Amino acid sequence: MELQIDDSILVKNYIAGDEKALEVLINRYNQRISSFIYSKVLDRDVAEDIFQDTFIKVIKTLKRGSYSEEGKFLPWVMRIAHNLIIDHFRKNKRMPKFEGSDDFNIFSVIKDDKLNAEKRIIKDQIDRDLTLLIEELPDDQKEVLVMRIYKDMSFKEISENTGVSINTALGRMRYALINLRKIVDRHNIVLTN
Amino acid sequence: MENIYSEEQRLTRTVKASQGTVQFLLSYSKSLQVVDCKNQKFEINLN
Repeated sequence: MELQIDDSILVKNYIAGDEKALEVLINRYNQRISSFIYSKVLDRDVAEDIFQDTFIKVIKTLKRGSYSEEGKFLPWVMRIAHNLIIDHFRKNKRMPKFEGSDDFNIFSVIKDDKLNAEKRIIKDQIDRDLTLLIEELPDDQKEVLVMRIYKDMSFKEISENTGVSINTALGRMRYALINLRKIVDRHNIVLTN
Repeated sequence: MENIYSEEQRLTRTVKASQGTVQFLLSYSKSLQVVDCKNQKFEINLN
């Protein structure tokens, strides 16, 4: 069984100059204090900073001989940490900032939908190639495809404008797409973005 | 009886201050000296 030296004895030893006693105290409560701070601030880096500031205060107070709460080391350290957490939030309230943390990144919610320069160039190339391919189609199919895709007309409007039935317009559109795929296959053209 | 499939959100996560922070604190402690002079306490940091 491991022998655990009492906190109050470690504190006394530390005040008397035993630096090793501080190491034992820090390691003994590292997880509890860090987790307590993290549960409030929810940021690993901030939690680490507050942990550090907490123990700097502890060290200063002990070295100055101002510590009087013998036997209640952990609640005392927790109170220091708690006050520093409040200070942290007060400071942030005066100067609010929003930045990414381990759990949440603002850029996962807000993003730029615009294509980057490379993708834009690729898209332009594909559009240009496609225009040339459409020129290869028979006129009646080309007419329907242009009206549907580029002019965004409904098949009803296309039938009215071309003087053919809706079914014929649908059929021409279907053949236009089939023929486009055939041309793409025949020439081994790769249209991807 | 109906099953409850919702998962309770874990609010606490066990974290530990890094070894670097602990080492810094131990070094800081070693370098800090408090001198008592005419009822006034002065902190001296010897690097």
